[in-house]
Amino acid sequence: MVLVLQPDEIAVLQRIAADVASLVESPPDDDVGARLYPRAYLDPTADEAEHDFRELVHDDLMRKRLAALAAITDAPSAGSGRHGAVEIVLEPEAEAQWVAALNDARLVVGTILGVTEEEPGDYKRGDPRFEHGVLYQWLSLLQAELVDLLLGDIGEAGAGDDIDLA
Amino acid sequence: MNGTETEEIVVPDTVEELLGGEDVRPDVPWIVIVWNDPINTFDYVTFVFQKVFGYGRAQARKLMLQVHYEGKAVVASGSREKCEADVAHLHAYGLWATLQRDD
Repeated sequence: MVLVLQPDEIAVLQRIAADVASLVESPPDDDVGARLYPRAYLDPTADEAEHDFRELVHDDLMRKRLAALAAITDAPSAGSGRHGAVEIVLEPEAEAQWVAALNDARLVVGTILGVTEEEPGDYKRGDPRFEHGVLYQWLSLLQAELVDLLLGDIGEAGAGDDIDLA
Repeated sequence: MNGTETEEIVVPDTVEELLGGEDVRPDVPWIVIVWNDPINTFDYVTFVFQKVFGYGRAQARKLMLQVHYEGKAVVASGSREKCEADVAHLHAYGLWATLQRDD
């Protein structure tokens, strides 16, 4: 697919992807870290199993997330299309990476904002969360467009994962 | 008396005791649960279920709605190893997934 973004849009997106990458690489010991890397074993007595699970998957999970975020940070940022718009051609693997990376960005911004189902980032002007709320909603819109296209590609029948994200 | 010593036979109370700790019953399946969260969208979760498990759209949407309205849904089951791989795959997509024994 071909994504068409304005130069200032891709600039914002790449800055956010870089910020999220640093959180993915060094997850903070807070809600954001816990949301990026949730427990696999809910049972608090299963700490040993949890530890083994992390030993097994954490590095791989981090590496693939960073690769997905890099698909955004490495995308062209200079305008090539009409009126200086940036045309970004995404191959199937990059499509899945963009969707997952946009989701990580939404997880980070949404967790910091503390979005809820009743208040999904749509704050009133003057609210200290307003600007980040606008950002969150814009990331959500962009992701929704990509997801819509990908659901069309997969079709009703379902398809196996062609890229191994885990 | 026949001369042999009487040996006390201790019957273990539980499978855990019998195996000396961890319950490794191979016949007990594990399940993967996805929990509701306010960030992942309906369409995205549907997409991930189709992508990760190869489910059809109808099945993926049904599970997604169950997560949303009931707070969680069992999305897969099988051996512990398979469930751990599924959970890792779902975490890569940012879903809140856990695994547990299907008791």
